[in-house]
Amino acid sequence: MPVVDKLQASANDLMARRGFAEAVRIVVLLLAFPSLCAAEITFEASVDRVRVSRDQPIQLSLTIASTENLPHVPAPQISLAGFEAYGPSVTQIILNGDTNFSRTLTYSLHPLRTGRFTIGPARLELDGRQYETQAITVEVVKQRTQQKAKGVGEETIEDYLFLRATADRQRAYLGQQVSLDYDLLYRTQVHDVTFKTVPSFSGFWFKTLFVAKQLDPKREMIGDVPFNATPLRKIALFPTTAGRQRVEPFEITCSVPQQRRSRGRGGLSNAFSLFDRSLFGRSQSLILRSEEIEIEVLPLPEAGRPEEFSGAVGDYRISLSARPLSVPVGDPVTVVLELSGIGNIGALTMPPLPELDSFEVYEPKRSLKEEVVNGQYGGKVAFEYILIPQRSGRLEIPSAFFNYFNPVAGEYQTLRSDRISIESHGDSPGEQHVAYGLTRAEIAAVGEDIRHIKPDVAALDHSARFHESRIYWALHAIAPIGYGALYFLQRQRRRLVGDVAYARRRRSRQAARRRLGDAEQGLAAGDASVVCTRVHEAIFGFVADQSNRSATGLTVEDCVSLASSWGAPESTAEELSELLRLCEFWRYAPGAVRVAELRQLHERAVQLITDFGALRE
Amino acid sequence: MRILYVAVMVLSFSLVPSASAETVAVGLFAEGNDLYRQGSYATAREKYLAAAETGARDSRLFYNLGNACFKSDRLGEAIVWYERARRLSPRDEDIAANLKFSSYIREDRVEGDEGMNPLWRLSVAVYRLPTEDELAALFTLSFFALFGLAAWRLGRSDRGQGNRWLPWFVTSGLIAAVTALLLVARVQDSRADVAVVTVEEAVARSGPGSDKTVVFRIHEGTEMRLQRRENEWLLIRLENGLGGWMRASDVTVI
Repeated sequence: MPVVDKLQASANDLMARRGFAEAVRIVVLLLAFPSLCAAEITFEASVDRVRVSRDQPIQLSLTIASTENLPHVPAPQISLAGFEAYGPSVTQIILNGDTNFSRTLTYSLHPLRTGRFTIGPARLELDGRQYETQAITVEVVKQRTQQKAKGVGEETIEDYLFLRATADRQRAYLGQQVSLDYDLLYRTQVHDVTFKTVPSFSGFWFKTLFVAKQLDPKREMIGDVPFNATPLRKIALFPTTAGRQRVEPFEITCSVPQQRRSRGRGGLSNAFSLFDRSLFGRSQSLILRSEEIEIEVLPLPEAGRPEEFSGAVGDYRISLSARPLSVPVGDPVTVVLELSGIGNIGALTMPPLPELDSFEVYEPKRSLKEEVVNGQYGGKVAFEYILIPQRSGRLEIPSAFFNYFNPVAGEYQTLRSDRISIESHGDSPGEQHVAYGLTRAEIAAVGEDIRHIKPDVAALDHSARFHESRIYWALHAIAPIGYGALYFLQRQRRRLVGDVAYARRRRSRQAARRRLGDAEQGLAAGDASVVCTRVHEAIFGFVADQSNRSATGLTVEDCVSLASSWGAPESTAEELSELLRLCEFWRYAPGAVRVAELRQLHERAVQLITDFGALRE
Repeated sequence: MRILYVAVMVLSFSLVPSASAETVAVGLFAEGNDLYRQGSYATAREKYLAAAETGARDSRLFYNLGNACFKSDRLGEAIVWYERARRLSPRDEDIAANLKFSSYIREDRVEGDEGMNPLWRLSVAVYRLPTEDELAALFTLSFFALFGLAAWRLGRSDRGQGNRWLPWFVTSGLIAAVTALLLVARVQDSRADVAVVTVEEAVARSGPGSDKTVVFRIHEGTEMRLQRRENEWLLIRLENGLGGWMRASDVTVI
């Protein structure tokens, strides 16, 4: 029966026998059960070996296992005195959802000295509880742990993996380039390759030409066995001290699939098989060390050494160029002296420029361009001079020369550049003692001293210049604006004089307004005859002026017809007709009309003229 | 007319300084003159500088300031003030003479006018003859004369009686156009950044930085045109076309 069911049965039994209070206690226990049954956590430490030689790493694994998922696991605390630790690499496994959790932290420990060492214990605090592993004692011995004698058909790790150092020569002159290559050769899976110890190259000046950022293997046969060869570093060495010089071993660390103890078939042939490194497979760390390299450095020969030799060793070329080749006196000419070739190009000193009496020479600017050609360090260094011709004529820049030691030929050699001619024209500075038109002979006219100061003044000018003021320029706009206005007025005047129809049309409203004003006065006086006469004249006059006709011969029908021709609506035309007829009628029967009717007549006339005016515009 | 009157008054008042500043400047100028006569050139220079700081733009002040600088062994600064004075009074003989003298004793050679075509030299002399104020006044007169003549012609009813007005009209137009062009050119010239070396020796480099190649060296009093500014470095060009970058602190813009 499961534990929970047993507890439930006990609770029922107690409820029956001891009463309610006891039952409550059992229920509380039941509720607390999950926390009592919290995840079981184990924390363990293990090493892959307890006895190692000084050059062998130990793989330390700290495993936190739980029956529940642990989302946040803090880093354990552990003392690793006596070792250089790399890592950890973390492997986390969650099986069956969250019922099995395992987190393994793997450290690669490289012994710093021989002796017995205690690793740990490691401590971990999780949800307020402390976990601790057991301490592990390991022994580091001087010699590599005894390997089994290599029997027939048995292979060692070196048969699958090794680091090779190659120098292109074992004898070199001082300053001669020696190319040093470090290659990793392997025929198993290799990963996590890191540089552990790079030689100091004491006794050499060195230039790193290549550093691998990833493994880029090429096929290479060692004997009759194919290997993957990956260049790791390429270094150009330049010996600085004569004698036998040693290059210390180069060390890297890497990981390979851990050797599987295969019984029956034996050997390592399967241990590094491609299929051995599965997702959860283990790997082991290795330190690979190259062999020490010895180079015999020869001093440079004394025989034939030029006086100007500055220590350059290699194979060089020289060139001298100038631009422009034709300049006025005093203008600059850029002269470039360039050395290029194979060798310690960065250490080349400036070759002396020939004596140049006709030029003013300024300090050169050095530029360096490094190159790797066929695996050899070299490039070009340029010295850019600024030369100012000091006189006119054909000025010559003689050959520049450069001495160096050619180690291939085993002798000192001298390079000479071409000569260059500069055509300089114009007057030379010595011929021109002038300034602002003043020649040396004219100095007497100027005097031997400056002229005296100006006397005291009553006022000093503080004002700004007129033309610097915006108002000054704005005032100038008055002239064209005034002229434009005058031109417009003049044009209007001339048109009124020369174009009668235009003049009558322009004045028609004014005349109509004047007559309607008279009508308004008649209205005020209560004189119906005046009102009707003036309204009649205003309308007839307006129509006659607008159509440039005589008002004398116009009839009511003519007015209506003209208004219609201007585009007046029919209702307006009818209103005009009615208004004019009323005017004519009331002019001769003034007693038949009332003041209100006269006022309405006046207002309608004003409106009609306004409407017609709008139509005519 | 009222608008015109108001505009003229505004223009006049906008160009007139406060009376107190003018009085102070005159007093400083007189003090500077006294000190100069006593041989205290450095103190006189300070007085003149104080007068200039009140906003005075008087060629006599600039000239005296140039003299005080010259006597205080500040050749470059003297040339700066002489040049400023010459821009205000291009026909002043004292300014021209002292400028010539200062230019002569400076270390570096400067391209002169003597290599010019005589006609071109005459043109340059004519160009430099009037002041900017004179050019502005002449332009205003000719401009208003041009439009006045046009308006007068417009208002005349007897246009058929010949073109006697036309030569005057054309002359006014030409004068207005030439003076306007000259004025614009002179203003452009005065605004062009011309600088003078005010340290004993200044180094021109191939780029704006102390690490750049030295292209040439010039000495106090040498004039040059400014072409570009980059932080505290100026790209300058000499009369002969030679250019380089110099520290801004080594030169003073005229």
